[in-house]
Amino acid sequence: MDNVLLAVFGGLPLGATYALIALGLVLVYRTTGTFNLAHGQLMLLGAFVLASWQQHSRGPFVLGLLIGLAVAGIVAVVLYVLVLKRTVGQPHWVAFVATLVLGQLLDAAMSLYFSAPSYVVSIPGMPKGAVAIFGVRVGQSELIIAGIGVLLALVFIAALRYTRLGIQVRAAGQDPVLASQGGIQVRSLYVGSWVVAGILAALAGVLYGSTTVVDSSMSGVALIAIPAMVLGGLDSFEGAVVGGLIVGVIQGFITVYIGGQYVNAATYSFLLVLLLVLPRGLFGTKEVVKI
Amino acid sequence: MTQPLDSVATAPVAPSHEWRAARVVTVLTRLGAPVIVLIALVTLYVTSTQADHNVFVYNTFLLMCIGSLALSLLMGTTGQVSAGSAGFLAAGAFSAVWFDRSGMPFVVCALGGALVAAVLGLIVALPAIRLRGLALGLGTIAAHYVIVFVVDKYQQDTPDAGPAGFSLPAVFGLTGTNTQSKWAWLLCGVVTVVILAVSRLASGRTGRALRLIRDQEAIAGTQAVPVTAYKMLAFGASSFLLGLQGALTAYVAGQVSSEQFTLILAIQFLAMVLVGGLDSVFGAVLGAAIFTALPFVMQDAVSAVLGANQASLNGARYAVIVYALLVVVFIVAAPAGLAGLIRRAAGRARTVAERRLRRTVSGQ
Repeated sequence: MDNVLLAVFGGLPLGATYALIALGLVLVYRTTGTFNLAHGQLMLLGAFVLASWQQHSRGPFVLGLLIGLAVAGIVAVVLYVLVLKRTVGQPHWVAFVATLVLGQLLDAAMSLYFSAPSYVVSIPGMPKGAVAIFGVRVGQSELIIAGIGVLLALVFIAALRYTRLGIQVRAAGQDPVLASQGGIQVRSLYVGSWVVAGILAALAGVLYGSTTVVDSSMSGVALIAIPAMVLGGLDSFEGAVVGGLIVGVIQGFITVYIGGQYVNAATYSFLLVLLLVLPRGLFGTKEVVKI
Repeated sequence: MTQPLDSVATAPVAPSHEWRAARVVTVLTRLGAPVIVLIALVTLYVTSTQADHNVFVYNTFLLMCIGSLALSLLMGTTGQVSAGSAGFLAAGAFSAVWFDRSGMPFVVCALGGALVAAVLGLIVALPAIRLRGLALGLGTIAAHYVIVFVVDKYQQDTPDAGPAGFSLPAVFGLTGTNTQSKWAWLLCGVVTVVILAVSRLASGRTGRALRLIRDQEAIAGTQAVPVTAYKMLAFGASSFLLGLQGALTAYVAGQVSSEQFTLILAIQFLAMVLVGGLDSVFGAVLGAAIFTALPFVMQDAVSAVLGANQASLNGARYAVIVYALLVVVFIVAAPAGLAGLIRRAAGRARTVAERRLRRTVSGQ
């Protein structure tokens, strides 16, 4: 029983991070049809900027955070406007390859600019201790991070569902032509969704980085969130959050019962099985091809 | 008296010499003969004039050609993306190691490695039977990590494989002075066979079916094209070739370690065929040449601009930036790659020449 709780509470903070990552991925996938494999590099960028702000200046945390989010958002838009927007009309995998290569570009550029091997992000006011829940000791900061992650994700989903802008975004993703006929500025919404995706990535990066160190391995975390997105159904915002939490908890169980070294391989095997047996995920829309 | 009509239609018409010659040229070109001749000539030049180390670099180019041709067939001709190239290389290399350790001869090890990679490729391609596009890309990323994990586990659990990985026996003996030249000729032969095989698959009935799947998959099904079988064929063939490259690379270097097989390597394969030109034997070979040369060129360039210290420290990073920018420029400005640019330039030159010829003829 203790092991079960340990697995669940170990997996939830990870799951919350995956949920945030998957939300950003789903947002740009639904609006612009691009699967952004450079998302992990945007995470890393936000975390790097905040970490070096904390290292070099005595300024307030919030300002550094805002700068980090802004940089990631701007870079995301630059990627979209300069490159990904122009892959429209080319075979679908061109954008896939483009994001992979852009990820490499960002990785190399960041390792040149942020020359230290690793950085530390510390969120002020985060408690260091552990609390006992049903007899299992759980780190307070990790619980808070899980809470923040889930809360952010829920606010984001609510905004997409109930605000005017959110409905416009979903409409633009579903049928761009019809949406533009209805007076929606589809192109600016596309640009806007890339900004928001970059910000979501940076938020996930900061949250994830505050539990470990910030180094180049973080860009791989977004790839491990892909199973979460596929489980959620690729184009469902709610699915992204549910999928993220499920995959996080599954990883918690693998860590506790099988061993930490198997986590990544098992998660990717899970993705392969998922693609075979449940390709549309839990909440995905059915793909219909008309000839 | 006029001839009856049907006798005209059935009368055997002997093809003219010009027609026959043109036909032979067309068939040879379709099978990639010009590229094969080019590679043979370059191999002759490199092996007879260059030092052993340079021949080794040339061999890495020949090895890259195998995988790049495989990916050109998969992506360019069939329109299926794979980010799992490094995984299939690893599968080939480490299966060859496994066969080698059980005492098999070199040829069995190399082909066995390729076969194992092909089987793995077919397994990974299973999701692609039901899905279009993205799923295969995501699946191959997953496959990459799973294969590399298994291979790494094998390396760690084998006591006599150190952190540097497995050593492989020297195929051409240890005492020979020009072992790399012997490899160059062997690899030249392998690349020739691969070019013939890939060209054969990409032309005629199979080629038309593969391109229809690429361009209009939903319609291919209505035209009695067995979409699933052809996709599996393309994926199996390309995994086989990647496995072959992996196994041969391990033998040429004499050593193989799981750390060589990164996702970055797989992305380089994608970049290679994109820059060279998709669905083109010449483009695939060109891409392999560029990406073999790029690290060396960049090392020199960085050392000239920023100093030798920077070159040894960050040369690889600058190389990545340059190749990434190169790919981005090609994606945005010239999606057909270098081969496409050359083809277009040749076409334009021909038009200009024809126009000039017509003008001189009419002027007379």
